[in-house]
Amino acid sequence: MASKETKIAFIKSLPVMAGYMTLGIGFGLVYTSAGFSGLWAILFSALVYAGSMQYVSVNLLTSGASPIAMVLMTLTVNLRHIFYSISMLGKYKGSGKYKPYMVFALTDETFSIACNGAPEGVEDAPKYYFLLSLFDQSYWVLGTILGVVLQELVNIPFTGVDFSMTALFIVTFTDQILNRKSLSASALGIVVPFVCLLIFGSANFLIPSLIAIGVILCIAVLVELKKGEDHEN
Amino acid sequence: MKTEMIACLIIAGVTLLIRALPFIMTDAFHKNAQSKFLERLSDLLTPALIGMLVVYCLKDISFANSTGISALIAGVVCVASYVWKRSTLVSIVVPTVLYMILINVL
Repeated sequence: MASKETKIAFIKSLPVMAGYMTLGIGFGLVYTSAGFSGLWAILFSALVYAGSMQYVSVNLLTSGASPIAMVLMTLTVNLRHIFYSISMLGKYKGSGKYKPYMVFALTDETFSIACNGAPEGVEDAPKYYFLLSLFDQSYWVLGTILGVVLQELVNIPFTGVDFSMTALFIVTFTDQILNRKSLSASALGIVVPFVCLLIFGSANFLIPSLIAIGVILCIAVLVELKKGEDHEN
Repeated sequence: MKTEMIACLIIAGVTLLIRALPFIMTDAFHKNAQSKFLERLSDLLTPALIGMLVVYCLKDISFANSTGISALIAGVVCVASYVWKRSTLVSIVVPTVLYMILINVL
């Protein structure tokens, strides 16, 4: 007999299922189509468990990126997770034995559900968060396995399937604009890297882009806050 | 095999570190989470970094072969379908399949 927490966590995880299975299949396909082993595709999904970054990993592996470049790229793609963790400090407090896994498995999707708190009927909140995280990751790993198997069975190179990563970022980018996050920040994120791409070339443009974006935004926020203070005074 | 292992461990390690840092240094982050500067910076940083990742994905396309025009068409379909349907899944699967077809036929 499944516990109340198990049932509720499973129901809450259902919206994530389709997305994670599909993107997981995509990752399994992209990874193995690039000529890498299916075993490591599955291990990436088990140990890294960060969708966008796993797609980027394939790119890093094929281009023979250095360990430093890997660290920097991971920081770039995944830095936003620090804000998810900050947001969940309160809710995940006192989760005991469940906590390490919950922290490891705090992805965009899991955060988007967990940030609403434990639903009514849940008595053991840490257990609910733990199971929700576990269900979500199981869809992701299962999808990856399916993708790997599909590649083995069909055994044709899925050329161009890596566009799924591009599409994922374009969707996220469009969504940010539609939700009016900040149009100028979105524009900055396109223009600065594009200029850097023209100047430094495709192998070296990432680091200058990151530095330039960081500096420009820090200055912009400082100016904005200063203005706000002046306004109050 | 060895490179895959090294890449996997590095990326897994850095990712975990990012996720765990606020939980390890709770006090420091609790204080800073209320800082207006960090809050505003994170609001702006996210869309900018996503934009950068779009450029990163498209860095190697070329209009000298079919990848350029295929990516352009698939990209437009991706944005248009998302504005219309607001379904992440549809807007990833449809443009990807389209791109896979286009690079072979164009």
